[in-house]
Amino acid sequence: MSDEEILDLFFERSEQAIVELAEKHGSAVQRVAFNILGDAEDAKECVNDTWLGAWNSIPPQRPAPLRSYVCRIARNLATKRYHANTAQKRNSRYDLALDELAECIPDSRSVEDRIDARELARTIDRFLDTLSYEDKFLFMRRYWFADSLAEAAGMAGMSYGAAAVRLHRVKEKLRKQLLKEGVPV
Amino acid sequence: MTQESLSLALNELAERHIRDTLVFSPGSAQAFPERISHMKKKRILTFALAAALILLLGAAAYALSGIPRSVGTYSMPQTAEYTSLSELSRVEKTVGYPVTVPERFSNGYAFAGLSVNGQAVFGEDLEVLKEYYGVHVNYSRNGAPELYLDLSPVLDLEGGGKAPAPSEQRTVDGVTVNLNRDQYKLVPENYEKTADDLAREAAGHFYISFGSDKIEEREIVSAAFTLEGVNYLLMDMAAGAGSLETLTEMAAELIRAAG
Repeated sequence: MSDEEILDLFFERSEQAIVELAEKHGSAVQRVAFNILGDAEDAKECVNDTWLGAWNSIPPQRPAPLRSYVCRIARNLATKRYHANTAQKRNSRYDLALDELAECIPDSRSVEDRIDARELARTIDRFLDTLSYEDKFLFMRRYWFADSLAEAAGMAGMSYGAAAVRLHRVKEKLRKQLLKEGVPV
Repeated sequence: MTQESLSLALNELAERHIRDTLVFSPGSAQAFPERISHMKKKRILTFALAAALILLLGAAAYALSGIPRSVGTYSMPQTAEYTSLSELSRVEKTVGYPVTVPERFSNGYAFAGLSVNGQAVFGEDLEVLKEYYGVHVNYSRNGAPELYLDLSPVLDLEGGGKAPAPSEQRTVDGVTVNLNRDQYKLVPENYEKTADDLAREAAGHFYISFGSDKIEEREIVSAAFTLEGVNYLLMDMAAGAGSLETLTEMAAELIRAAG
């Protein structure tokens, strides 16, 4: 079933919409939730909450493409749950991804005083626009989708080593971009 | 910055980056290549709106309903910018279709610059249905807002449906000119359409364009016609009372110049 047909079901308030949405985009949503939470049960609950979030927002929204929309809902819910969890329950893999990225934002306390998350997001948005497709893909898969570097490399048809080198360079570029935009070191 | 703040920042990233990286598909990337992201914002806007208008006006041979489609910038190898029309034959060779671009119109608007850019029509899963070169021309006149002329090939894509009816239609030397006066609401990537937006969209000639820094509405007047398999789109993005007449006259001059 096409995304348009699934959206039509949502607009008709047919519960079949959830069934079709899960059938078509469930694996992508499950992957984002599990990558962040690292716990099958938590991920399952997050996926169910994602379908509820979609049900409550469509209509009035008619998102396109549908997959990125539901992945974003899943990520928002998963990160909220993740940060509410105790340190013992947290997924070390996602911690590692965040720690890696934090290396690009030196002197983190002073940064936090001066820019908020939304401003940082806009800076990263602009930075991503300057990257080659391959570099952007690796960055997004590693830090947004929280894939392991090996998984991201595999999806891009690269060796692990090549992907690691590329991502390292991307982070260096990001660090320079942040400096250029006035983020203090 | 705490892990939580960093996590929140990632949650806020623009939709286009998520969309582009759902699957590894470098050919369908809609990300702005470096050269485009470094362009002045105004130019990005005119590119984006021109692409949207070409799609919506039905000047091209493909339809809106059925398979969802979008038009966007696309990385192509031979993009270039020109400040004079002396190399028009080179432009035609690159884009692969005849290009009629007057040096000056009788109302005083004169050629101010031309760029060849890559564009593509994307399918439901962001697969590239068609890639092509577009030609974007600026015209200026002292004390008046710039006008834009966009050229693109008529695309032979499958699809049913029907394009929206133009605001007005005229015929010049046997060529049909579709005239439109549309309201565009420019909104940030994360904007959510309101009930009023949806009602206005349904009523027609109202479009939401995502990607702006702030919410802004503007009226755009355009004249679209097809000559020798090429779509021509004249646009006034700072529309005034006489815009429709001005564009109609310029369209007529261009049609006669091509003939």
